[in-house]
Amino acid sequence: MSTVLIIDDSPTQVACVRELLRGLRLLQSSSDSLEQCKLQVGHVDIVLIALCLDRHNGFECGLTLREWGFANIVLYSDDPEDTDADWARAIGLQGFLRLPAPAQQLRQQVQSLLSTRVQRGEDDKRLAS
Amino acid sequence: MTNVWLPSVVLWEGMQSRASALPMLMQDAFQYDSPVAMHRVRASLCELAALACFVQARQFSLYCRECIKLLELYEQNAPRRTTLATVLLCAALRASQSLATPLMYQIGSANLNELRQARGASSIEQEEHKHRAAWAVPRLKVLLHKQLFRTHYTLGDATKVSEDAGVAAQPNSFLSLNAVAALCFGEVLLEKVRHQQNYLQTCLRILRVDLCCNRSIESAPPKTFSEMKRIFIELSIQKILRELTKELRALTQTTDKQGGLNLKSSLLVFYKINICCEFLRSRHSQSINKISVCAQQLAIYLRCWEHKECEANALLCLCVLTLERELNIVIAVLQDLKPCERTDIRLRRKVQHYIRTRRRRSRTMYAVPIGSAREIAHKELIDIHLKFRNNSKHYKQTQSLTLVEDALFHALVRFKTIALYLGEMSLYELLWNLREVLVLVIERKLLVTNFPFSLLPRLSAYAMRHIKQGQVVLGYDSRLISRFCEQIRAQRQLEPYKFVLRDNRILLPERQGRRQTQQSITTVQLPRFLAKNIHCLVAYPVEIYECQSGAEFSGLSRGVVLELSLLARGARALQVDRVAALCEVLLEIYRSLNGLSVLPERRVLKRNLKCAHRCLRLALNQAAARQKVCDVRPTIVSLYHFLECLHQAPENTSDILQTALGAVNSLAADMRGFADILANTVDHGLGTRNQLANEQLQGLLAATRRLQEDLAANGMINIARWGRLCASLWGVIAMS
Repeated sequence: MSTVLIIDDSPTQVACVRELLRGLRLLQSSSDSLEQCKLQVGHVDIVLIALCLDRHNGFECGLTLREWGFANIVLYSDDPEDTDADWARAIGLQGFLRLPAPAQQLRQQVQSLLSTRVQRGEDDKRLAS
Repeated sequence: MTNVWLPSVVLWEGMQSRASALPMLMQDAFQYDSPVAMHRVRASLCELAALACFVQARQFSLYCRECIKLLELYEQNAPRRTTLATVLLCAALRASQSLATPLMYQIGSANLNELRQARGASSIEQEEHKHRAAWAVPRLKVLLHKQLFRTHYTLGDATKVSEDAGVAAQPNSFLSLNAVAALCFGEVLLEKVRHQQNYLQTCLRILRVDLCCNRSIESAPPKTFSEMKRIFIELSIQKILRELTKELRALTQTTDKQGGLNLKSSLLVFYKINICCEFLRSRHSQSINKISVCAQQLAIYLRCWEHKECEANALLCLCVLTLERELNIVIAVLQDLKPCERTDIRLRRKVQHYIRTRRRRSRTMYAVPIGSAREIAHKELIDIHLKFRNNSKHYKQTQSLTLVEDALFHALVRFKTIALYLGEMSLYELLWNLREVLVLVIERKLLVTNFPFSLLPRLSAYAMRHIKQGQVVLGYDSRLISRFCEQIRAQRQLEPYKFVLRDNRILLPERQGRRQTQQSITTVQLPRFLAKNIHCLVAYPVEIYECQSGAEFSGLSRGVVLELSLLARGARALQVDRVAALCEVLLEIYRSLNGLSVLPERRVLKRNLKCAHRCLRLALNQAAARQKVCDVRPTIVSLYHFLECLHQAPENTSDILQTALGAVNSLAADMRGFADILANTVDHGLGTRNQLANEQLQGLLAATRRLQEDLAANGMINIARWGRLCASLWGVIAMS
């Protein structure tokens, strides 16, 4: 089962995202306790981060997690601007989601991100060999 | 007029485009003394004055009117033409500057007095004092309308010519705008020109030709003044409505690729309908009022909600089509002079359907059991409420909200998210608008009072109560929401600071293959353009820190320099000054480093550049997340210090190298002398130790020669080789 780490300071939003992604293994953290996420490196398939956090913001938080070794980092917001997805890609994150979204659609997006990751891993292995 | 909500964006944009073209137009008019150019200048000034009236920029409106009067004087007064032309040109430039940079150039009474003085009138203060008691209507307004009438008159002549030539007059937007402006103060104007009925007749003729009207005017020309006045107003209304209908039709015909409406043009049309209907409301039936309300609603929903959704947009298109049809009905009714019936029911229904669709869509987006979500939301709201209360206490002490605490922004965003997840769409819209205002404040593009924010604790408390009881928090008819909306609309009227720069185009560097070109980008497209074109700056350019030579550095840093110059210009245009300042100093450093043949020590270079890039990335991320950009001053100070060191370095380095070269030369000469002595002692059989020293000294001499060559050729010196040489030399001396 794939593991999803959600980083958000709003309990209501986390509850909704949990509901939307029911069926996946979900871990949760807030921007205050970001350091604790270091322990999860290698055990998480995808990281979902809210754009607006109490400390820093989704972009900074995503970059920090990437430096720690997390892969497949995706941001989300309820009213994204045109620039958000472009900027997320520019700083090397995997994408941007609009939430709330229909559960089916969101699961499909997450699954496609996970499959991209599996394919990328296989490519890396092939290159290494 | 003061109660109408106007999308000020459009008004200010219109004003800015007209004002920026004014100096050039004026120059042409004065240079070639062309009546057509002069007419265009006058038209621009009239439009500016009218638009300024709508946005309640009183001083600016007065300024334009003074320019109109001065222009009139210019046309009449041949001997003073040069002086008047100079004054007018200066005035046009000032008007354009005051709109482009409202914080730097503001038009005040001193500027008005300058213009009045040029035409020999008393100062504005004296004039106001003199006429305050005597005139019930401000004199300037009347003068403006005389001017507008004169324009009509000129147009009337033009129409007459075209009539004589058998060519139908083409309807033009200038005439309709003037008609609106004339209609604003129509009664005042018509009373004042009572003795000049020929003007009115000319106007009627223009309108008649323009509208292809063959009604009673044609058969029985008006005899009395009041009849003429009534017909003039009716024809003006028809003219205006017809123009609007045309624009609505054009709007639905020119949809974008996805079949949606163009937001900007839609807003412009809705705004015009609002304004015109507001004027017409007092004179005509309620149906016009209802059309105005519908247009206003459409404008609000268009702004508030995503206009890119195809489904919603199709609905909006339908609404616009209905609006067009209803306007056509009103025109037809006006022409027949029959009382209007209820005309906008279908439109209202469509708008309501649109709202309901939106609500349903939002509700189906989440699948959270309402009960549990409400409990969690209630708990979260307690926390948010406390934050609002603390902030409210803080902002009570200050009258204007110039600095927004991050905590307030985050609390508002969380509140908004809760409203969305609970399906409280009206609360969500309200908070969405408030957040937009707050973003403008954060970006320092808007100064607002603390009033809307002082209402937030009350709103959160109200929401908490209702959520706990499982009730809907706010309906569209709530008094609280309407109070809030009024406040937000009032705040948004102050938006010109943001939107005045909307149409500006800036030139940005772009790389196409190997060569660099420049491209023109509007400030609206700029954020997206920057987000797409910045790559090197985001990743720390690690390989740059490891550079050995200036040439290598120059090659690697080319991409960074390009992105920095692009970002510096872009951030300045978007008024993200902190990012712009940081980019500019970094750019200067990169340019200085590119000019150096010897780079500073790698450790120093890495420390300074890494710190600057980290700071820049943080600032960019904050700007992208619509947060307050962190204070970059300490980084800028340290970078300037580094820059000073860089500028001093070449002189010092060359001095040191010269000294080193001199020292090495004298050392080589001394060593050669020493070697000769040693050779003599070896020849005279003074011992194997000296022989050994001599051999070593020969090797050292060769090394010294290489050093000399290195220093003389490119100023580079291998420190390790120099150290080894010195150590060996001491060894030889000790041995001998």
